Amino acid sequence: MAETTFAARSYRDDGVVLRTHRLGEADRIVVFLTRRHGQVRAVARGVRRTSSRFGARLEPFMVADLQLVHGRSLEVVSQAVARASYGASIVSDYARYTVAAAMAETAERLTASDTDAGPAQYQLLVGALAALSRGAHEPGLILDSYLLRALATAGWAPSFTDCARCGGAGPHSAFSAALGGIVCPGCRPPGSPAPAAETVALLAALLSGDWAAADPSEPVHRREAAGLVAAYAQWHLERAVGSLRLVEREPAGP
Amino acid sequence: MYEGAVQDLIDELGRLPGIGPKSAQRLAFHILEADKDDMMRLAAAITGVKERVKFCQVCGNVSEQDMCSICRDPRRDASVICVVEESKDVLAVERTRAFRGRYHVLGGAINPIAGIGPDQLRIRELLTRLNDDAVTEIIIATNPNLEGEATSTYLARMLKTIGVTVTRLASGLPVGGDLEYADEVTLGRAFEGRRSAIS
Repeated sequence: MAETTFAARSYRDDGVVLRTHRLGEADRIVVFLTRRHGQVRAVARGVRRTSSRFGARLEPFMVADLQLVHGRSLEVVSQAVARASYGASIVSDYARYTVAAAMAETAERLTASDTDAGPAQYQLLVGALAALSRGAHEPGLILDSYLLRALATAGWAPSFTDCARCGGAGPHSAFSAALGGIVCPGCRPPGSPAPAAETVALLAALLSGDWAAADPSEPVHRREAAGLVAAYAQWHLERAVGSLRLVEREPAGP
Repeated sequence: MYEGAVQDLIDELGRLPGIGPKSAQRLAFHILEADKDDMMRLAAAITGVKERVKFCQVCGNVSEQDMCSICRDPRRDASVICVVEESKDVLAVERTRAFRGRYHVLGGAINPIAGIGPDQLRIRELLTRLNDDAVTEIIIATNPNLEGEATSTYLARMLKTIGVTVTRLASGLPVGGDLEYADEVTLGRAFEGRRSAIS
């Protein structure tokens, strides 16, 4: 009997909005990455109406304190209070918007079935969105750092110093997404790309969050690193992240 | 599973947006039991809309001719174009009776997660229309949500160099509501967009 009361069926959690889908006349299905419950899909009723009291708090990239009620197939959002609003500053810059969309899509893929990764993935995504909205670093660098760290948190940590296959001490020059990063000449599969040493150093800096090393990097190395990170992410996610194709990057230079 | 035509009808209705299997079944049985003439009119309306209705070659709005009634109307102000996401937004703006210019329907908003980038929208067609010197202002009336705002940001950046005035619809408090119930995002936008009360 107690299970049927509102108190028993409802719970609170912090969540960041990953994406929304239209539902019916004025509702939305909102996909959240929550701090304690992993990925949650919930119905937000009436939020597409201009009179909605919490529609603006359930836009992508918003962080909100949510009250959710267990439903038959989806949860229902009964309340939302904004904790942080990154959307306005992200959307004011088109490059930031495309980067945030790629981060949200990656987070959605990584947390679709792994509820244990919730707290770590949640902190990582909120931190990346905050940095993006502040304009703390070049948007493409924030994306690549986020992708590497999110994959590492999910159990696919790349190696950019020692050989990813045999553990032989680096530095090495070949890269293999399938083998997990930089590989030695003995483990190098045929056709593996050999990125510049500066690109490998940039990848290591992005993985460890060493912004003092990453920020001064050259656009040409950033572009090369971005290609390798995208290949690494899509190999381990086992399908293409559609938003990565639309990410607006700074030109590689002459 | 029902036999033949009934199941076919349930399957087809179930493919419509917002219609689940139960609703499809309910609608199918309503059609089955309803007056035959009424249902034949419904069938004719569906056939007619697919055969006769197309998109305006100029603005992308729905029309039964090559150009929609708004683009054909010489009394409309050709110097102002209101850019909207969907044809239904044209109707919403027309209901205000406050706009006498013309429209451009993009066909959606930029949404990378859904695979919609600028190339999937009618942005190139908008730029082509701006080759005509008659246009002096573009009003961006995309939805006041994140995808609409991102589309507005992208359009503003594209149009900045062309030399036309680019404006965005104001955003803020709904008429008839109480301030205490406004969410902080909307209220913040209303503050940013405040204007002088002394005329």
